[in-house]
Amino acid sequence: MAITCAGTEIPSDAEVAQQVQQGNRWSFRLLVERYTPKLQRYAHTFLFTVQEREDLLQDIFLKAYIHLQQYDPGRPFSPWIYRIAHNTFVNAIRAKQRAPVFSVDWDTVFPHPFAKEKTDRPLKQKEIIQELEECMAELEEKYREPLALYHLQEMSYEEISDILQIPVSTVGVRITRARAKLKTICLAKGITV
Amino acid sequence: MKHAPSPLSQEVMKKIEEGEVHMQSRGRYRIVRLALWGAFVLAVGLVVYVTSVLLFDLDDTGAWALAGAGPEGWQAFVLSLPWMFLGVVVGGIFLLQRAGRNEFSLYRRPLVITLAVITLFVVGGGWLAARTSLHPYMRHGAKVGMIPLVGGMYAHRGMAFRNAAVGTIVESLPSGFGLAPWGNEEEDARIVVTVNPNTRVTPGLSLLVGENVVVLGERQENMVTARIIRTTQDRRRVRLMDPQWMMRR
Repeated sequence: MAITCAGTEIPSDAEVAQQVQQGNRWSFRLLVERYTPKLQRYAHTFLFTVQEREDLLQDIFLKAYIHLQQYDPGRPFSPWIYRIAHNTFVNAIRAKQRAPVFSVDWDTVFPHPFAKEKTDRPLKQKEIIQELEECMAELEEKYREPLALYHLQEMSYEEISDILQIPVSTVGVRITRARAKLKTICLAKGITV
Repeated sequence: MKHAPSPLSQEVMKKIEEGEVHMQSRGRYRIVRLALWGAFVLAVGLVVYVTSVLLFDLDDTGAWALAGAGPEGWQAFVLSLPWMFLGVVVGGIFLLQRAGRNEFSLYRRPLVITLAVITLFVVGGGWLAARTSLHPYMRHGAKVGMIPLVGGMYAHRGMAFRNAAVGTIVESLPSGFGLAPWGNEEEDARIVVTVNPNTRVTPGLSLLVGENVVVLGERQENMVTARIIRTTQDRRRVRLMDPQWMMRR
């Protein structure tokens, strides 16, 4: 849905994507501009260097352009491009380290009690971002990523579930565990939470 | 206020403009999606079909009845399971879960739940298919060599665990009785069951012709020295059409 700002109608991401699908290639620039800072922050979660980040971001946008006809404009654009970004980042990490070919992630196997999204989200936002900046690098990747998506990218559990392709309940569990681990790390570093 | 385009967007747009990258056509995705759907439906059909063969096999040989014959019966039941079919079904269920992950957003639910739902669907579908006349016809077709590919699945194996037999008593003998095992009631498949004072027989079972029994004991050739004999009921389902009718035609 388009947003009106100072009398000018700003097209939504989905509308812009639809324009590109219909042949207006130049509209794609708008998507690149909109998502560059967001994806840069997301890439930061994966601890890439600045140069790596730039290369990967370009790769993500080119992939998004190539496969744009696969995107359904009836659904939000953000999880779609974040999914591409997630895959690109994970593949880049795998190329650097030799990740196991197959491993079982037990968090996704069994049902967990569904942790509801908290209503105090905006209040906690600032302090959590500060903690994240200081201590996030020490968190395991499987906790760091959902935490960053939730607090830094302000995504819902459902959107994170679509990006990481893990159960919605697991997203809640990981964010809760990540907060607890982050607290321990911060305390160990002498940062008051 | 208009912002100057970032170097990244300039670089991306340059590559697009210069034709270094091309947007894939929508038609291509439609074809791929259609092909994937076709493969998925085919895979579901195959897994349901193998499940129905497995259930038909258990029904037809009377292996289910073994489970009701105490701990030894349970052991015999496990040993008489068609493990190859079971392996294909279990593997198929995992494959279906993987294949349906993206298309049906299965990743949103825990693995145990999605696997349980797929298993229910597969077993339910297999159970229904096993209730039809499909397998008796297929088996008949396989016997006369009309089904070249899957005919091997119907090659009669009888009860996989040789020291167990389930069937109907067809004749009384001085030392026991003759048993027509279910699943293979031809004359040469008959089993001679020897009963001795050590044989544990269900109280009230008179071992008369026409009675259905489960026999556990040592088997040599087509002779069994019975250790346990229990009564059972013929639970082989009456199917929609009598296969004998079709065979006569």
